Amino acid sequence: MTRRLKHVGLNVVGALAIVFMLVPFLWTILESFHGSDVFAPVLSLFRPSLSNYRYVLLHTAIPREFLNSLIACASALAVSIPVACMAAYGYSRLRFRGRSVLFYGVLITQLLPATALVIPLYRVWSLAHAFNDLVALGVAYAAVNMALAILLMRNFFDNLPRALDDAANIDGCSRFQTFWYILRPLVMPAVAASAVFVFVNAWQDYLLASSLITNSADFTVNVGLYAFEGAFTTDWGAILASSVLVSVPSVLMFALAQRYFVRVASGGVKE
Amino acid sequence: MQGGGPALEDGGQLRASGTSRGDDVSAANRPLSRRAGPRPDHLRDAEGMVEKRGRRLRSGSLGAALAWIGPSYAIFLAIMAFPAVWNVAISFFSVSYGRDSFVGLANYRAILGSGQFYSSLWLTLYWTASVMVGQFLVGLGLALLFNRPLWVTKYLRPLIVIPWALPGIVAATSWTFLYSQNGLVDQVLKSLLGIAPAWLSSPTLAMPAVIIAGIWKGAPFYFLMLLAGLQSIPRELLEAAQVDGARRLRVLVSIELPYIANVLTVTLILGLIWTANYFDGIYLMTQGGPINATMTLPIWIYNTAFSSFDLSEASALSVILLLIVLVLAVPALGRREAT
Repeated sequence: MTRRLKHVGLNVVGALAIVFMLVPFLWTILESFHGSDVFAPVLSLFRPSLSNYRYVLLHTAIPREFLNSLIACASALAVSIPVACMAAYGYSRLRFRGRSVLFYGVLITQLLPATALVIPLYRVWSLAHAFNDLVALGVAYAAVNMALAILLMRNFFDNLPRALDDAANIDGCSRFQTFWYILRPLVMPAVAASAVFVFVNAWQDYLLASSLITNSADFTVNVGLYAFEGAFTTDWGAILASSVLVSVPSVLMFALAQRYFVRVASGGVKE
Repeated sequence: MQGGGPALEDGGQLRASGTSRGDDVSAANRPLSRRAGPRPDHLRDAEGMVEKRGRRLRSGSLGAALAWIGPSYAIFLAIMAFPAVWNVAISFFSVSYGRDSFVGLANYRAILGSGQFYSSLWLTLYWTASVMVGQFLVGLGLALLFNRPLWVTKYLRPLIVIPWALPGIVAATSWTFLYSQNGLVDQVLKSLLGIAPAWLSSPTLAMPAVIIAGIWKGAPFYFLMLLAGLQSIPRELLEAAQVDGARRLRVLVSIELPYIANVLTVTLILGLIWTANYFDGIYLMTQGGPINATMTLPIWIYNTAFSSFDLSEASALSVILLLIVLVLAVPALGRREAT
């Protein structure tokens, strides 16, 4: 009897945990379709309306800021993925003095608090006159996420049999040809996964964008949303609809990469 | 990106078969006499150790390394390493109105002498410990629940993970909305208990409120990691325990948790680094207020740099935060190496 009660108890705790994880964002989604009446009593009649979304898409800066974020994220991908893929190949296939020192040098910066990085970056950016440049912001994202992308792809290269390299070598492939024609097609899954992670991390960033972008026309969507909340604190309908729109790309991307993430995080960091 | 799912699956299989083939090759080529070389750094990846030496002679030129690794290192040095070192340098200077002057440890002395430092330090530890314990418990509970093949696990798993994928601003907005006057929390508490506290504007309740949001945002990470660990436990082990009549809690403490100790340590280390350095969610909900009640060190650093514009003191603070995280993380890392 007590055993059975305990079983029920465990399930109740589990159910509570599920509710805790699901309700906050589902509530945001639900109420974003509630017109301007977002604080209506919970059990009142619900008439779905798209008015908040219409307002956000037609009358706010969110669509333009969405585009700005996409530009920054695209630059981050364009810079980080080819460069990190080459580096991953290098760390996996080349033997040279100081290899592991260099590799762990990249990894250790992951310990740095982002807030510690922002202060000197602010000064680097003012030296380089790079403020309000979305491509430069993308390069910063590329740098911040470089370690993760390299780690991910290097592990993948490590698990490709060396026999492939040797065979290509015997057939007269140069090092670059081996990389490009033989190995690169095989690591595409890791390339795709790193791309997803770089994109999601860049899309989520508030801190870097808020200090490196000062002109409101160049705001990324996170900074723009925060500014919008500051200016229109009471327009919850529009704020919630914007929040839902902002989260769509990263949630979608994350859903695609979830399985892979676990393998990387639990095995990849192990070294 | 549509092909992402299946492509990743292929990668997994390819990876597994690749490992075994690679082992065969290196094992076949490995002469016994070379094994005894005193190279402790190679002991860890002992497979293909000799192969490495051979390769180094053939292709280990620094030029090749530069060509392949150079571009990433240039970006890394310019945007991560150089600023990080510069950050430490700034902390020994006084930066004001564009004129820098060396002040030695004055910034650190000023910080250690201010009451805000100890209050922020306490808040950071309080935040980090509560969020980590909360995330661990929620993540473990969910992982144990989802480890059983139930219909809910299949459909709810992707939904459970959503908070982790949300931008900090969206998480902060959702929770600010929940906590707001006449919001969902208010309505539920009012009808159940007849109370309606103003969560985020109360100095005593703001921190717990932010902690709950923080647990929510990060618990999916623990969930995913612990679930992956639990699923790697051989069934025979658990069945044997069941046959021996072990209770559920006993199985958890004596078999499951020790078995996944490695995954657990990685999870906790990453969790520690992320939580202690966490900025977005707290700042976007409270900016450190009310009356500095949620002013953890990262928030204080940001405010010092970008509201008071005292860059050198902010730099010194960030160095202190880095040291604190290191002091907390290194013993855990050492433990991991030992296991």
